Amino acid sequence: MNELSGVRAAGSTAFLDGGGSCGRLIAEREWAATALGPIGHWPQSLKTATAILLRSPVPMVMLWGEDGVMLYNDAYSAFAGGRHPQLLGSKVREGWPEVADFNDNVMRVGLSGGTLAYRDQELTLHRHGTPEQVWMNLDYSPVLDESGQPAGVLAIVVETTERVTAEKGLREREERLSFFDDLGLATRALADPFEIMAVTARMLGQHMHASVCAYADMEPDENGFTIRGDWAAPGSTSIVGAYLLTDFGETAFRELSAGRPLITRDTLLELGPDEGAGLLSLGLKATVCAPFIKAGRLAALMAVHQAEPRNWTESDLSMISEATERSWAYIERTRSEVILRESEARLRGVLDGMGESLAVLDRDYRIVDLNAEALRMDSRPRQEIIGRTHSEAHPNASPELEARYRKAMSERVPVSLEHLYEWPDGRETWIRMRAFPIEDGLAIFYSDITERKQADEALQLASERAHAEAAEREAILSQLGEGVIVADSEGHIIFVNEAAERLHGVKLLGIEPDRYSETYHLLTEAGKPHPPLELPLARAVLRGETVVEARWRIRRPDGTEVLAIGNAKPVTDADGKRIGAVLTIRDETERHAAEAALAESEERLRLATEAAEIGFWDLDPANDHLFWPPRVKAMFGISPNVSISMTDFYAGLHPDDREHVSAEFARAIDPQARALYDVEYRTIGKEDGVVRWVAAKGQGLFDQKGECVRVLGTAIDITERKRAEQHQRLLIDELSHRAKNLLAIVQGVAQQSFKGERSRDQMVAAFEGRLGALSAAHNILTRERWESVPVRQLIGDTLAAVRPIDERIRLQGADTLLPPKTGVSLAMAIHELATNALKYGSLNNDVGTVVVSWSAEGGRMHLEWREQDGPIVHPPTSRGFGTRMIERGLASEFGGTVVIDFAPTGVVCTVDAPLPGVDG
Amino acid sequence: MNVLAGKKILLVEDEAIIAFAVEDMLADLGCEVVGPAMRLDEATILAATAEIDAAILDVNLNNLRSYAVAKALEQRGVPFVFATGYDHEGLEWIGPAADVIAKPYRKEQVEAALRRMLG
Repeated sequence: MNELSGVRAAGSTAFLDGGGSCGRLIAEREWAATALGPIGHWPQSLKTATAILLRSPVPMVMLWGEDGVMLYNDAYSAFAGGRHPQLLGSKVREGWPEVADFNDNVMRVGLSGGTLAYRDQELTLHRHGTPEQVWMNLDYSPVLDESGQPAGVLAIVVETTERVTAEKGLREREERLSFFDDLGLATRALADPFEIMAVTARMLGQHMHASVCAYADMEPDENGFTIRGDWAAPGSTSIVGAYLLTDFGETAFRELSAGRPLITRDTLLELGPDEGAGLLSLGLKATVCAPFIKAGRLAALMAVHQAEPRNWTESDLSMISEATERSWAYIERTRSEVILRESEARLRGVLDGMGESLAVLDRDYRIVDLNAEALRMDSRPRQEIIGRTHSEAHPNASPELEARYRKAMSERVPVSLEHLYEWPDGRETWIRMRAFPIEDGLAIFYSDITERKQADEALQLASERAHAEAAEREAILSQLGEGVIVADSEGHIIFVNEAAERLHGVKLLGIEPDRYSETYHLLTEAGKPHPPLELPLARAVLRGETVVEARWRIRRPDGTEVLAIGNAKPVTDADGKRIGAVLTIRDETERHAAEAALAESEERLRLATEAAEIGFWDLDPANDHLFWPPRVKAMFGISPNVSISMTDFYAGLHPDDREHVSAEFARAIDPQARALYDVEYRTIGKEDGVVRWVAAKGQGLFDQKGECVRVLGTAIDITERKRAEQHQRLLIDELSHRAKNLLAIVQGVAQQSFKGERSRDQMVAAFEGRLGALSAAHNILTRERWESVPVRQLIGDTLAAVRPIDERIRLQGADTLLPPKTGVSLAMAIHELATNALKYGSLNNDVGTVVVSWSAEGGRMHLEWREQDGPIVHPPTSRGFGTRMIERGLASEFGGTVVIDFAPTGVVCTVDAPLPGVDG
Repeated sequence: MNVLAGKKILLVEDEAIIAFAVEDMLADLGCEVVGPAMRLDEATILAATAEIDAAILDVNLNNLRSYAVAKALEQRGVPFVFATGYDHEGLEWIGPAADVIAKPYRKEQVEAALRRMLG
């Protein structure tokens, strides 16, 4: 049987000869059990097609029958990778399960006689056990059997992955170049590192379609870090805040500390739920975090995060690493450039920009340097002056000048001189000179004061002349009994005689027309501020009018008033040009005093009654007839035209006051008691429901039989007064509370200051210092009316109470407001830091510095106290009031984290908390 | 035998300096301090979850009343005492009668209140 089949096989497999190794495999395979049947029974069409494909150098595969049994050539076997040779003879949908749907369509179309062609078709194949992205050109055409029906599909398969990826790579490189071009453009003008990082984060995040892109700087302990800013895609949330690297797992800490990026494509799978908790709790399921190592120390981080697992490509990773490295390099460069530029600018500014001339002489009086202004004044070229001695360069200088220079040089003291100097070119200039000894000679500052000298002289002359004229004019006018005021062409008051001064009670010169009224307190006859430009003098000087017998009022500084009658006339020169105006005034007060007083007193009475809100009421108890004027009705919330009776009175009383008021009223009309009715009560408005306070007084009238026939009285609405009283009581209560609270705080400070092992003097000093800080904080609070505390002032005042503020203490931050209580706690904490710095820290030597910086952005408050260049810091052996106040008190007050680090290089204390709202 | 020794006392007081002073008093009395909690949220969580023998509650926490804390303690059967500073600060507490001590805190007063609760 074996032999037989072998013979048969040898004869029937001739078409496979020369078909390469696939041809041999097909020949050796036992096909009887498959859908194709024994090879000897294969139809000629199948054999022919197989023979053709086996000899083709192009990868080809035949999918035969409904199942698409696969027969392919050597070129295709290379393409099939690890699947060959098992793939040979398998059904196409089973042989390539990952693309079963695709092949299903191929079979359906092919077996119905159609063809298919794909160019650069992207497929994911598992040829070597792992998913792999491939691109292919695919051509499918039907193979007809002997009956002319499609029986199989012949496929030509050319893999184009290499070309496609090359093209893709090129495109990516181009996109990347253009991205970095854009990034460079966007950051070029920025000098602030945070802005550079913010722009980089936004652009990188958007470009990569990330969820969040954030940047952070590391604390000196290389564990704490603060995300200063980030960019979050719509739907993702910002993760700005303070964190610890160790909270992000051991892998993150190890990799980043070693300067290697942390990369997770699926954080949960790769780090596990425990180690990954830090990232996962922020909703970040894939991360690329790049470290920045500076001076051997982990200094900053930049990270791109995805809310879903993401298969970062090599290109993604290099993109992120390049963007971060570029921005860091750029920040470093920007920093040093800025510093250099600033220092150069400062020097140039000092020398050239100062507007004053500067010459530097060496010990031999040789001119070694001149600034721009000095050269401008001199007008000779630089090289003609530099290098020559002062007397060579300035042969005409006065001997006095040279004497001063010699004095400054030999006695090492500053000298100065104003002198008239003749330049070599003959110009004369008044010069003001000041010379200061410097290490190698003299620094001479000088400026041209010729104009000032000339102006001084002119002014001197003019003022002498003017004085003479004025004295003469004044002598004449002051004799007049009438007031005289003179204004110049623009209306400035230039003369006021004695009578006018008496009338006004004041004499002010130089006043412009639109300020006449306010300056001299001029009123209309009705007592309103007088429109200044309607005053006679203004009309005369500004409009050229002649004003006769105008009337107005003058209120003197002592409060007395004068009724003035005046005439005003413009004054013109010989050409008829207006050069000023004259006003004459006389006092008409006496004549009008009597009638004015009468009118005023009537008015005052009327106003008083109006203002006092007094209402008169009248009751006839026998007939229950009550009269209330509209004002009293209003106190009970009743409209003026509504009729009322005693029922309205009782019904309108507030329930809490009804009993007492009714009793008092009964006593007033009781013939035995005849008491004075004097009550304060609340009413509830009949129509409006408003609660009002009323003070009422009244008295009964009794007839001869002793019957009460009438009750007369007044009622006043005292609601406002009651409200004010209540408000005042609240204020006093609040004040008392604050005082008690403050005393309790002082007691607490005392209790904690006077314990422990220190000497009594030390304890007293500590206590007094703390009281000082409390007091400084309360001073600010009082000034700010207990509404809020400006941070800068609070820190500044607190520090100043410990030590004078100089250049060794720097405060950096925009002014932010804190609620009062938070402010007091912050002041106490700053005080403790400052006294510690003075005793043991950076303020204990001659060079150390303290930088206090803070920011309030994105709803968070960040504050840092940083000491530098002080003596080596040793962590305290015990925790005292200070550390307790800072680490726990402040943290709790802010509801955030406060960390104090006693690093050997200097104490650093950081506060990170939600920004407290200021609402009083 | 000091009945207060080792007792866990929840201290709720919003003024840090005062809280620390009371913390010292309680330590002197041999108590263990839970807190001090200076904010209402923090205090409420401690009251509901921490191991506590008794509590001292400042009524006014940043202008919020500490009654939610008292409620949580009451449900667990933990005795507590209120501390008030305002003269007119009424105790609007609706619950079983509670002891009240007046601020500023004095050690004898604190000790007496604790003995009443724990003795």
